[in-house]
Amino acid sequence: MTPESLLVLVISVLTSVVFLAGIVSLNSRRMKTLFIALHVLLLTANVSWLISREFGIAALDKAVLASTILVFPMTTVLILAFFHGPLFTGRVYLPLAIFLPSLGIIHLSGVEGWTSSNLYDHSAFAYYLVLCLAISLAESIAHWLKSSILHKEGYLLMLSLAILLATGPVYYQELKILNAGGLIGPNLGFPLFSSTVLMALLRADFPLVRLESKERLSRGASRFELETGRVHFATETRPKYLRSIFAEKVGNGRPGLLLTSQPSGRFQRKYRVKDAAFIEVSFRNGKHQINASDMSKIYFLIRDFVLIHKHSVVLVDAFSRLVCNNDLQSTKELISHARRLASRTGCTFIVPLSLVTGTERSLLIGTIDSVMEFPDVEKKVLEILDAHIGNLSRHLLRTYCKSKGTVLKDLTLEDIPDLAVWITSTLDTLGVYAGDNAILKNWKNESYRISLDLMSYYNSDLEEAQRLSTDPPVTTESLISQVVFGREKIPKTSVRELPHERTEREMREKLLYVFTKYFGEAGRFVLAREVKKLGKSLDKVSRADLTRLAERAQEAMMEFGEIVDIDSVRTDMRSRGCLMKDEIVGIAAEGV
Amino acid sequence: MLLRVTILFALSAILVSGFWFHAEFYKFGLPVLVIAGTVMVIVIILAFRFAISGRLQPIGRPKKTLEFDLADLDKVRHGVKESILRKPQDNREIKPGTIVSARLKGTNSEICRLRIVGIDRKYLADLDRKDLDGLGIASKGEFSSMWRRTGGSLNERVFGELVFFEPLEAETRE
Repeated sequence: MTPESLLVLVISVLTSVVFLAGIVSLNSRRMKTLFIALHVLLLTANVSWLISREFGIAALDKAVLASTILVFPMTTVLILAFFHGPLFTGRVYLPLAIFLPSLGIIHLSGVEGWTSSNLYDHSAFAYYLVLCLAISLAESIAHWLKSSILHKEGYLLMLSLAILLATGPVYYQELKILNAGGLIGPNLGFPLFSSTVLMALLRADFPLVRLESKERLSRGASRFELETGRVHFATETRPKYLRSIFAEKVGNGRPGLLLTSQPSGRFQRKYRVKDAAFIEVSFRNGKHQINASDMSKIYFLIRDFVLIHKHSVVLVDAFSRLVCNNDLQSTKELISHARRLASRTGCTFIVPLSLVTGTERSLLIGTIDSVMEFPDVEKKVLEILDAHIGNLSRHLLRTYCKSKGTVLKDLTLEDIPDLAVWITSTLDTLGVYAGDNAILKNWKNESYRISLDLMSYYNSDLEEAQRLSTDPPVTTESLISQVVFGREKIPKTSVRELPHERTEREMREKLLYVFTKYFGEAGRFVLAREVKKLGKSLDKVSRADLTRLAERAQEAMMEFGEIVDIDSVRTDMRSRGCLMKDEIVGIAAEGV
Repeated sequence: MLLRVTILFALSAILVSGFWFHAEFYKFGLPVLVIAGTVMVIVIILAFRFAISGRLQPIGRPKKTLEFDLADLDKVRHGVKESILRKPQDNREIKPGTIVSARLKGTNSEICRLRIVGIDRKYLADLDRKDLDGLGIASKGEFSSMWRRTGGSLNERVFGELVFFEPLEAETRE
């Protein structure tokens, strides 16, 4: 074996080592495939040269020639796929457009009888080579200079292209200047070139997050309507409401990705979310962990996920950790990439702005985005309880949290149904201890109203939940509770109704008004009695019940007239009963 | 170190070989050769430095510092104190991976060098036992008094920035 062949053998072994290292360490399937394809060409070029030189097989020179030609478009495709993955999704014509000229050149080389030793002398190949390298270099330099996320990857790929250029055509020309025969044909810089390519790929590589394919159709109406294909920002002290939104979307069949700073198990238990991908944003890289300062990995993780799972929902729960571990420019770039991905794939990004300073907030999202504002869950629950039971509320809530092994600040929207049940049973028990039927009844009424208010808050939609922080309305239930408990001051309650609930409430208020108008102060008690006779509670009265209620109201009025043994009064009561009936029927007709 | 010397040796060999193989350039005369050759050598050296470190200027001594109390010196040196709490910063002078100089408060004497592992933000109310251990604080009460001394508020909406670090070397620097 000649010294030249030995050198090429060593170079080929080194290239194989890089190749194996890439296969073992690369996780992204797309990048791995491209890396393997590139190395097949690199190894074919050098090994074929070695075999043809050692064993005198001239035919293998064609393989050297073809693979050397194909290395350049392959590098271009790899670089374009790396920087612009979505560019190639469903667009096969793009790689074909890059590769087709190379097939033409290979054909031309066969016709004109080119050899591997004079490949760079032919102008057709020189033009094509310049084109491929120009595209790749332009992409790499642009990312190196402009991008704050893919800055280092751009640099490494630019370096690899410089090596390829120096060890290919420049080396060949240099040998020509020096009039040295030497090693023309094989490329001695392949191990260095492929290792810099591998370094760039590894910097951005993260295991592909793919959810199990299953039926993912929407299974129910959503109470949190969020516009798809957008990045939604929201402020709340802790991202509880946003987690509920995420859990609901995933529960409705949308693929979900959660980037969180907390262990995923706790989240899964709390929100009963199983079919979502959880990635912990920490300070190291692991199987389900990503380093908060590896912005390129985070970008590739999100990009690959939303490209595989169209119309998915991504909650960047650990946004504050990304903000404080990276410069603002790269976080801003990530947001703009997310916007582009969202509009392209129809996915929804939810980004909480908790633990972000005002300056950062204005620099990151500017003024073009609207920001949803949610009040703290524990504060709203306290407000609701305050309206009913005053100072006892905080104590009661703390007792609940203690019984559940948690603390007040960790109370979430998902705890509310359980809390409503717990409060009802606790207040009922307290009423029993009082040993007085009237008090017991009052406690029961109150606990019932608390649970109603809590559930109303729990079921409030997104728009309602945001409005809760300002101008809280007073519901009929709260009004009645004040009457029952004889409070003069109407406390604030933050419960908002849905539109249909609002019309129902207005209807009940009108009903109460009509009864009070005809029966005076006793009106509300008569109303309660007649509603009870219908087998319903006041808050469950619907418009369909109003006709029957109108007849009952008329009968009640006539009953009162019978008690008063004066004819004129009796006649007056009858006519008032008819008027009352008409008014109630009128209320029923309003909603039709 | 060995890798750097090897690369330096390879570079020197390439440059010397370059002079040998490009002997035909001697015909242009000494002045041209000195100017063009010097420029060429500088460009090659800078290109190598840039290719290896990604920057043209040497890294040098750390410019960023973290200041510690006298009581914390040993804890920092031995890795017992793993983090500090500070008010949230809008600038990003210290990032994960940055090498900073740990100094005694009010002095210029370097205790050791630290590598920043990561930065996290937390509400003061959310600081748990693990966080306090990392800060080298024994109890919540101790933390409250320390935080108040720095002029910080303990409002539940106030959040701080936890900077996690690890010592690079154990010996004291004078």
